[in-house]
Amino acid sequence: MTKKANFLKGFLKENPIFVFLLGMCPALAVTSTFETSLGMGLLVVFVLTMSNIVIASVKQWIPNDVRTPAYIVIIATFVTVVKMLTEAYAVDLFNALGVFLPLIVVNCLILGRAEAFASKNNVVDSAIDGLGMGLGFTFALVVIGIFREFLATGGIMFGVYLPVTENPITLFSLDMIINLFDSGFHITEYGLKVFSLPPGAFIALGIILAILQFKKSQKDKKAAVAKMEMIAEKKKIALEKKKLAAQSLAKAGVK
Amino acid sequence: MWDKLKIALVLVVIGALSGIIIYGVNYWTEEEIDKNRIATEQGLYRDLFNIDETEITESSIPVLLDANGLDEELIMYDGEGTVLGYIYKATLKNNYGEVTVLVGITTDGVLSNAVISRTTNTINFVQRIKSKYIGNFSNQDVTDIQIDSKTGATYTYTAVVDVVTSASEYYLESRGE
Repeated sequence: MTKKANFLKGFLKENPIFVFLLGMCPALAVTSTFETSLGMGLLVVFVLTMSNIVIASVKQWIPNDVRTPAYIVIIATFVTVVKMLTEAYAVDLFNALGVFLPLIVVNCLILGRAEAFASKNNVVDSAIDGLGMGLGFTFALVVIGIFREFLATGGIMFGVYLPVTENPITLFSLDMIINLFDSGFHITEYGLKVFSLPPGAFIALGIILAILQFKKSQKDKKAAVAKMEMIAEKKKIALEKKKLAAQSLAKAGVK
Repeated sequence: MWDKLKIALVLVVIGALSGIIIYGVNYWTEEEIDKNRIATEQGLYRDLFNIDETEITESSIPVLLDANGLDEELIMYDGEGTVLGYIYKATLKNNYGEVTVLVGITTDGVLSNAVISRTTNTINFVQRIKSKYIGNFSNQDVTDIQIDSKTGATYTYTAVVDVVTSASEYYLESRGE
């Protein structure tokens, strides 16, 4: 596998959430808004990449019997580091993620990549795998976050939790469009509030997975039809060749 | 025997290295974390009494309460030691998670402010309550609090109303003389 393919596989082909359904706990719990999803995703990228690098570097010295506990200690170290850094430099994000930040340590994706990839490959490939898978995980969280926040509130906000702007910014709101025609309208009053609640997370994930599966089945169907057409075409060509050969033989027989 | 010792040694080394890294990061971030905690708390106390950042204030150690659903009471002093008012804190649970509300009441029985100090409720709803409705409690007499009944009756707002009502009742019972 090339380094590019190794990096890109986590985005769609082997996406941890949309394909393998790994790391469902944060995918359901912290995706009520776009920004918490992005924050959690970036923290996972750091933990996954760093733990993959360290595990790939020290794998030859770790006895097989204690492989898993050793990996968990390494992952827990990076999660603790991330927790302290977030509390120090992004306190709003820290408060918003709450218990789900320390719970990164039991994220199946991180231990899964350690076992399946980092323990069998070199440091560079493991780092690329960690980064690609982490960004794929972030991409999936952000998609769910945008979907849920938009349906629940009619808009997307930024700068509430991440220490990037002084005041929160509304990235997009349906109010912007509606207020062109009718002032004093607040879309938040008409949002589908269930999407900001835990059941909404399941519904949102179900809808997104259904859309992806539908797309995949359409693609598979198209590929199957194309294959059938190709077979039919080849059959047709073979029949024609057979016919021509028969005609040639008949001609030769007549002569 | 040697294998077991090797396993133990590897685990000890991994544990020790983890400990050193965590100690280092803790040492590096400790001050910032403490500063954040104090700033958050003090900032909210100032907000409750509309005190400017430059003014010197002090707050008492929180006293645990077990009355009216309130968790804590604090006394707020100005730089000269004069009591500015009382702060009541309560954390309520609703369908969206938790809401911690602080209510400030001055010594002359005026509800100076109410703030949401911490919440797991959806941020857009909380922002809306903060920007549009929570300010309506400011400067109301605790004996006659007017509650906005057309706020959409969200869970977040209901939690704020409950804490404001409890704080007013407790103040009138214990501090209102």
